[in-house]
Parts: sequence; structure tokens; C-alpha cells
Amino acid sequence: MRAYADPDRVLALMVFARLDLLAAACGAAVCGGIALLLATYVLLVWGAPAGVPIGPNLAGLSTFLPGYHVSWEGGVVGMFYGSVIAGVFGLIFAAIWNFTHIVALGLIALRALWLDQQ
Amino acid sequence: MAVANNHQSTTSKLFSQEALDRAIWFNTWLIAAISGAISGLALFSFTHLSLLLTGAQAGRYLNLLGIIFPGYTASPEGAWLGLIWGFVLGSFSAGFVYQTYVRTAGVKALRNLCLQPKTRQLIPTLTLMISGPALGFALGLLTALQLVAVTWWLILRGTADESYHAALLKYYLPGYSPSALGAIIGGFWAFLYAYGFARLFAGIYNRVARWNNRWGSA
Repeated sequence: MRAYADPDRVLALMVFARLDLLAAACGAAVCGGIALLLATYVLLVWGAPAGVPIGPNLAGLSTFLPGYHVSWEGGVVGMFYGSVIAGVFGLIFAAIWNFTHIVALGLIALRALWLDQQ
Repeated sequence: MAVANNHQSTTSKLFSQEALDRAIWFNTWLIAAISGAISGLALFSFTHLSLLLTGAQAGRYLNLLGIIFPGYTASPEGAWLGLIWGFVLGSFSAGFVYQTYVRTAGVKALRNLCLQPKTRQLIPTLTLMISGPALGFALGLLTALQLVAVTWWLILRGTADESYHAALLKYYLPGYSPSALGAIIGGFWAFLYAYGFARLFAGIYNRVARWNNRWGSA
């Protein structure tokens, strides 16, 4: 940051700094995938009494995630779904963050131009 | 001596407090609005998706949200309330996380957590990196407080003993139960999980951001 010695300029640059879209998507995807994988496997490790299904509530996700079920294989399927869904949310959040900052920056610049002309 | 003194004053006093406060609140409002919109729309969409896929069965689990969001039901009308409640909760949560994050990380640390652009730009922008410990603390604190608040709300309503689904959280949060002490124990575990995932997210984000901006510099 040595090129930006002016504190006000540095602060402005920090305020309007952008999120890296790829990085946000990757980070969210890994977290989402691991979360659903662990959520499934924890229940399998705990087990359930004989005759009682394991994780009936978590199994409800199979309605929205075709192929997912509370099993060792299903956990891998869930990891895939979790990665995709979380990755998409991460990407959307970062994109909206960057877009709103650009819009805000544009409005501030326009206001400054308008005030200069006053 | 004058130059050295000026350099010292520039680096030791980064920004005016007023400018800093305005900058923090600007981003707080922004992240609150974005997160609120995403949360509200997500709950609205999920409610309708659930109605589409499961019909009358949609309320089997979703109606439990009516405990936290008064008036919400898994119905077309309830989806609108879900939109509003989702917005409120999402915006408050994101605002809390951002404020906690900034105050935990500190401005000096955040100043060093920006990557310069790899190419000359008409309007130069920096790429954010994330402080893992600060994000972990902020998200952990939020998750723990929300779990404790929801559990104590169940106790206040007098339905804690009937909260079968809440009690199932003990599989993920050892020692948790819909009770005052159980809420604290569960909050501890929730903090740990959220902290761990936040550190993981920040670590991956920073690595990928550095790689993606490898021709620039910090």
C-alpha cells in the first residue's frame, strides 16, 4: 500500500475494496460441502436404536436434494450438493457486494460533480 | 526531522475517527441490506419450493420456524411474512457480524489485508482479504448468541419440554438440551463450529484471492 500514502485515499480504497468472486465461491463451497458431509456422518456414528431410522429430520433434505440420504454414500452426495449450493450463495453475495459498491461509488462521484458545478 | 515527524504522524494516525466511523457504518448498512435481501428471498423461495414439492407436508418442519418468526407458516401467505422476517434477521445478523469483525480485527490489520490490482485500472480498487480469527470470532459469537436466545425463548414460552426437534441438536452439540444450562453448553459448541468453519472459509478465500491476484501485491 506504499503507493497510497494519503490516508483519506487509503480509507476510500478500503471501503470500496472488492471481494474476489472465485475465492468467495471456493471458500463457501468447501465449507458447505464439509458441513453437510459431517452433518450426515455424525448421525451415522451416533447410530440409533434397532428399528429406529437414523436422522429422519436430515433425511427430509432428500426432497430437495435428489439422491441424498442419510448413509455413507449419501453423505458424499450431500457434500456435492452442499458445495454447489454454498458456492452459488458465496458467488452471489460477493457479486452483489461488488455491484452495490460500484453503484455507491458512482453515486458519490456524481454528487461530487454536481456539487462542483454549483 | 520535519519529514521524519510527518512520516511518523502519517503512519501512526491513519484516519480521522469520524471518517473511519462513517466508513464502517457505510459498509455495515450495505452488508445488512444485502444479507437481509438474500435471507428474505431465500426463505420466501424455500417456502414456495417446499409447497411445490411436498404440498400439504411442507409445514411439517417449516412451521417450526413460526416459533421464532411470529405469524410465519408454510403457506403462500406465510411466505411473505417469511420474506420480512428473513430480511430482519439476515440484516441484523450481518450488521452484527461486520461490526464485530471490524472492531476485532482492527483498522491497521484490515489495512494490510488488501491486495492491489494486478493491472492499471481507470478506477483503482483493492481486493479484500479476510482476517480469519476476527471473522471466526464474529460468526462464532453470533451463532452462539442465536442458539442461546432461541433456547431461552422456548423456555419462556413454556414449550422447552415439548421441543423434540430442538432436543435432537444434542447429536451435534454434546450436552445441549432445551434448558438454561443446556443452552450455554450448546452455545459453546456452536461458537466452536462457527469459528472453525469461518477460519476454514477465510483460509481458502485468502489463498485463492492471492492466487487470483498473483501479479499484484499487498
